[in-house]
Amino acid sequence: MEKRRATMLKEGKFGLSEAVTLTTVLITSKIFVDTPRRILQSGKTGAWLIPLISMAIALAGFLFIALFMKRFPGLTWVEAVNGAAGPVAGNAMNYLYLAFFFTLLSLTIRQFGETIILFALPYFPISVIIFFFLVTIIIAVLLGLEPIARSLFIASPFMLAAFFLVLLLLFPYYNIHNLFPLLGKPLDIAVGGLAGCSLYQEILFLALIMPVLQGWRFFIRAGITSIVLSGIIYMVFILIYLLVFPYEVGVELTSPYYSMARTVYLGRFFQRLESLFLVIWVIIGVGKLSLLFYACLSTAARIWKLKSYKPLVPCFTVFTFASAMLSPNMQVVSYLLQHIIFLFGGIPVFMAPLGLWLAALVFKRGKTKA
Amino acid sequence: MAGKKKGILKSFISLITYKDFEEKEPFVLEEIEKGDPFQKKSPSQPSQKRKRNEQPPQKPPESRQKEKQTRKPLSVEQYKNKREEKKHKKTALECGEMQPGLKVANYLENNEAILKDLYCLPDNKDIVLRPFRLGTEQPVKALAVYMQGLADKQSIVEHVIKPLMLFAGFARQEPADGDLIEYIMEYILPGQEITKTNDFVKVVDDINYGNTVLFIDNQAEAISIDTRGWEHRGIERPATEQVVRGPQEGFAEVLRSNLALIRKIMKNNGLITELFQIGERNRVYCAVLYLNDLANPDLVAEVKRRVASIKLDFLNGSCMLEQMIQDHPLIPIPTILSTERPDRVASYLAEGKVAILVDGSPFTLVVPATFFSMVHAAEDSYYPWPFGTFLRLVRVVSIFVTLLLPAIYLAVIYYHQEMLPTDLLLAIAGARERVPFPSLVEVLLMETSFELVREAGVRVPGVIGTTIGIVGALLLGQAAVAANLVSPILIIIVAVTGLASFAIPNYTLSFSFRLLRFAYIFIAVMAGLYGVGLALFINLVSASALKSFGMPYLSPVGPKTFHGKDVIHRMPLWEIEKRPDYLNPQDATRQPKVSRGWVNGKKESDDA
Repeated sequence: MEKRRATMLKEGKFGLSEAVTLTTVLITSKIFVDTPRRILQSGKTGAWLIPLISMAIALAGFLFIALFMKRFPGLTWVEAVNGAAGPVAGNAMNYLYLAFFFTLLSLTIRQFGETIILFALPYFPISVIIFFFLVTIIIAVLLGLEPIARSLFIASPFMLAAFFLVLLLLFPYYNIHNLFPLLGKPLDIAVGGLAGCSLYQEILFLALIMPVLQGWRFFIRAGITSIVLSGIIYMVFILIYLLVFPYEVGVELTSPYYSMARTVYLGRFFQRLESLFLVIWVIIGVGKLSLLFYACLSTAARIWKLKSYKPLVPCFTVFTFASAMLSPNMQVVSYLLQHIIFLFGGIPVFMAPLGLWLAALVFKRGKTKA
Repeated sequence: MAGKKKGILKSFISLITYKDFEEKEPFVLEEIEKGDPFQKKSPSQPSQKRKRNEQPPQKPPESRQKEKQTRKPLSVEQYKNKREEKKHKKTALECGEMQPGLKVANYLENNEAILKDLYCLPDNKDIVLRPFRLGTEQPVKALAVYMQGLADKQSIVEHVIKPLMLFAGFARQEPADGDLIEYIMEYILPGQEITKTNDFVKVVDDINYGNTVLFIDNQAEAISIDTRGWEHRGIERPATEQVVRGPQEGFAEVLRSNLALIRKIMKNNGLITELFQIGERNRVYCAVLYLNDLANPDLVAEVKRRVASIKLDFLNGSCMLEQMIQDHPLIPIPTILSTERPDRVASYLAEGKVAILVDGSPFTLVVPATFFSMVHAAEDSYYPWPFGTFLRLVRVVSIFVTLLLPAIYLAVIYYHQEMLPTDLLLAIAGARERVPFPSLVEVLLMETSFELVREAGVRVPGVIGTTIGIVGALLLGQAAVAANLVSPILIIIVAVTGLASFAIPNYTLSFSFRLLRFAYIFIAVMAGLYGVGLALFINLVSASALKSFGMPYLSPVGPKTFHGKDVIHRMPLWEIEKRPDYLNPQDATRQPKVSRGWVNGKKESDDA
């Protein structure tokens, strides 16, 4: 077998806590946009079960990713795909993955920008918002993955505290009757749970940064912990969302978290706290965008076997800005996310590794013995 | 001015026009001409460089080769002869120049001549050359050399000249093995620190440091006697790090006293002091301190490597050294901790860190430093743990206030009015109604005034400084409000921000937050809380990328390592059993698991 090596990008090393924070931020930051509304739409009053069902499916899918990665120790996803599918098909698949990450990035940056305009800066042009986002992302990415991971880990207690504080402050508005019928429409929940595994699609990021993690066991631990933690956060949020807003109201809201923060009213002084939480929310958002941008850069650098991703930063910045501005409005972005990413996102992340793993088994590629 | 203009014009024309290649003069090393090795080019001499258009003088290559000669160390005899030759044409630039490898001569006259040449005598009035004769049976000529003001006259008379003149013959009639230097060092001089040397570099260093150097006729070595005794400030209370409980001593300017202050607390034979001399002109001593059996050897080696590599013309204090050895000098965040408290230095040494002291500076550098160590104060460990933790939390809040409060105010005023309760919103709007400026101008006006008051308070003498502070705070604020230049709420915001910045224990860190505050103000005006969030993220990521002597700056939180239970929260003293993992010390254990032996222990009365 031809001995393959991971393209050595200077990524540094970090521990389990940082790795879990990275993937959890990537997965759960969707809470701040319209994802909970979509889950509610799928599962009705039993929507809080969807994250749990999709968590189980995502865990199974992650098992395939892990089994596949085990056959290519020390390699990243890009090199492993090349190893399993051969150089031609492998490269083609890697370009598809690059397109997937890039689409995710440009749609997410536009969605975050539009949400900011909607709730905080109504008179700002979207181009300026995206420009500010891109400047921040470029600085973060140029400083490296390690500092981004550390920063998000340091900010994580504040993020979690702010997140749960809003849920807690809404206590006077909890209405247990909103949860009934408890299981909603079971068939819808099952279908929603199956499609909802795309909630966890960013778990693939761990496979992209495999050399940073300290071995395969570390990878497994980080992946499982992230998926379970994210599942719990999703479930708790949707449960509280349902407790505060009845299903009929909940499906109408563009940004559920924002609406919840806006609803907080504890006397005349403690009200309208959403702007204060905007800071935390922006940090989470820009953290996610930086990681997606990094995923694009590192995938491209590995496909083209570059020693550094930094020369790619200018052109990818222009592409991202241009593609983010392509959508005419937020409705189009939301439609694309719902009908492409949310519905089919699980296929390249959880289904393709199964195929790749089987291909590697059949053609005896990668490490065959333990 | 005209010449400068012409130069710029010429450069510009040469940039935009094409010129034929002209043969350039070949590069020739400037070396000493064979005829006069001591002749140095004077700045007033016409330059040897030819203009571009001039033809170089035609010389045969052989003659040019002959003219080249490298400078070699001269013997003392050669040196003396040459000196005699050039006595009449000596220029001011030549004196004080040290010949590399110059050794102490056998004859006293030669040494005297070298010293006079080195110290530019008789022009230089500070150096004292005191000739005398040893009180031996056969009087021997000797010369004591010292620097006035740096050496203690009493010590020179009592410990150098008096024993040598009066008692030199009493101890023994004949010097041991004919070695007079050894005889004098062993039997006659009662001084504490006496060394002998034959190197003139060492001789000059010692004289410049207040030692008295003794030359004796027919001896090719000199004796250096410690007679240092210059005027200096005594040990006083630290000016910038005062505490309520705990020692009240601070460092002063004398290196030896500062080292003694640390050793007074850290009574440990493993405490190593290594000295380095830095500064081509002022040759200042730097001391690197560490506990030999505790500090990480790689860290110690790295500190010594960085300090020893410094090539600086003039080093004045630890602040200059800090700039030369820190990892990220372009980023305005301190990555080296500086303190003027010996107890704090000792506690850091006990953690496994390394301290760097510079002669003439009351601030000691401690490396590696983390952001969290900048938030700590000496007092934290002198209080019971709940108080220490509370004080640190107050400081963390003060960091956020000093960094973000004016920015958040502006963001709310400009973009997020809805987050204010209606009553407060009306109060602010009412106060701002009569102010003609935009809020940004108001904030900048007050912040600039505050910075002026602070700077003026530091510069003016003590009593007036306090008055300026009060006048600035009361009159300026009151008058500004009365004149409708700023709104009253802004006075409160600026005052609270200023107070918060004073609560940060590290002065340099406080300074960097003061600078960053202005960046946050502008970004808040541009993009509200959205911009503040982005700026915070950039700030956090850039701080995470920083390192202090190879150690991540935000350790032990980012990256997460074992923190030793003393980061922001401080556990009870007996709970802090391990040293921080990020330092990688040779001994990780501070104290055993049961450090309070009396708990669950037997009483003596029980045995009885």
